[in-house]
Amino acid sequence: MRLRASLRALHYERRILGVLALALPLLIVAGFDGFAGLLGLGRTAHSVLGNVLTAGLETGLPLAAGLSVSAMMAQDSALELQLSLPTAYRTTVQRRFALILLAAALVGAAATVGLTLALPWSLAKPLGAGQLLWLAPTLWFCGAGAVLGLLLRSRAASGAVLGGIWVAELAAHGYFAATGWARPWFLFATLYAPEADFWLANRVELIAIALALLAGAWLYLRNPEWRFHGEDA
Amino acid sequence: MNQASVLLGAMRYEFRMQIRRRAVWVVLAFLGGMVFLLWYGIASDYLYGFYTNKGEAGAHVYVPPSLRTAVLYWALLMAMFLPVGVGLVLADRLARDRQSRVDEIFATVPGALGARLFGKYLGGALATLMPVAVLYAAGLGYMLTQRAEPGELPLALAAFAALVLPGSLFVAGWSIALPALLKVPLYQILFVGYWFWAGLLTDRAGVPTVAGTVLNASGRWASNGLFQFMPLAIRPGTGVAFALGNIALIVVLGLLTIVAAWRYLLWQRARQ
Repeated sequence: MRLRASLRALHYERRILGVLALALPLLIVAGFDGFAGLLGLGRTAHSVLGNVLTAGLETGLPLAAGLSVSAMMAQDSALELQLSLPTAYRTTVQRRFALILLAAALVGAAATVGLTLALPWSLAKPLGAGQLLWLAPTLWFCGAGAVLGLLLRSRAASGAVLGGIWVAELAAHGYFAATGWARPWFLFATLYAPEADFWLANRVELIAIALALLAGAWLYLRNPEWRFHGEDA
Repeated sequence: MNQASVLLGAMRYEFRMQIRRRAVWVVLAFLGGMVFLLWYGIASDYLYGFYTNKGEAGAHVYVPPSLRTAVLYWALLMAMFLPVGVGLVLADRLARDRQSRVDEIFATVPGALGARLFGKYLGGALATLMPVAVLYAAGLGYMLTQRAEPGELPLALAAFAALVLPGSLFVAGWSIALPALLKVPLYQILFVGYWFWAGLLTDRAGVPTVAGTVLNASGRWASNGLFQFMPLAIRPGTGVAFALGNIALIVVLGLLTIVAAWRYLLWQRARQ
């Protein structure tokens, strides 16, 4: 009975989130894969195609999930109503977060398995480690998106910070790979330094930072009335 | 009602709304801080002069201090990264009208949609450029405290006008206009991806890109063509006319997207 009620609640949250928030990771990864397919028709080198496919999973998917999470955290048009309900607002947000993460994870896992089986040369890591390729940056962007959405209370502003970090890390990838203190923050290590000895440590550190950010968001939501202060529209 | 007064009114209110958003200042200050760190790592040595043996071929060579080089690096790095923030904080302006239902009220009052949209573009872009200008001036102020050569101030102003402004106006146009068609999160991710792909990606990546064409809006054509500044140049030896053409093209493209959004919204209203 409780399970059925939980599933029904998830079903309603899915409808409130809308199709785009859940389909964005799929759209973006499909876009990268389609682009790689077009390049493949032109006999582009496997190394370049592999980079485009890896970029879809390591850069596109995480940003898509992060933007969806920050938009969900920043705005809720029925917030006052939420706070009057027996279900804690935190629980509702957890459900929505779980749905977005699940949608991204399904795309990431399916694409990694599919690419490893169909095009074994495409991803720089074997199947097991390959899951960390998308998982670590996705969790990081979701954690950062959650905290930014809550603190800035504006989907445009939180999206701008996420986008700025994304572009800066891509453009200054050489600096991140070469500098000791920057390595735990290097989100795209598989794309630019797949053979580096710090790759696994980098993935674990990204996940640890993500968990710390998510714990921060969770603690913030213990005081849901803080969400009221100056929603920036 | 006079269209000019509608335009000015819309511009004034959009300017006030945007400049009072704390998030705009916080976000651009964060991105400006990132750019400053990048500049500090790459170009701060030009304030004092340094020895280098770049390429490790032979003896160390002394590079004399050059405020001009430091300033141009600052302007170019700002032009490459700050438009990401400018575009993204403007992306919700049109969607906000729909969300708060003021678009329905606007439809009932006199005053053409085009004038309001253009006013929104001018006001929003001007307000968002204020934090950018303050950050640029702050970086410049730091450089002048380290090397007091106020004779380079006109160069700094010209670099801001030629490198930072055109790219920001280009993205402001796109970010006001395209959310008429696309949902904000989808636009945001497409815009960020486009900026990297069409502005910052190098040919070495092997991926086809428009970054090497006149459509590149990241200031890299202008820095080379107008200031003979070599670092990060797309094609060394770019002429002045080509650089001016690049600036004119990207500013006009920004304006054209506003016109396109205006026609689209008119068409959409006619169908209702």
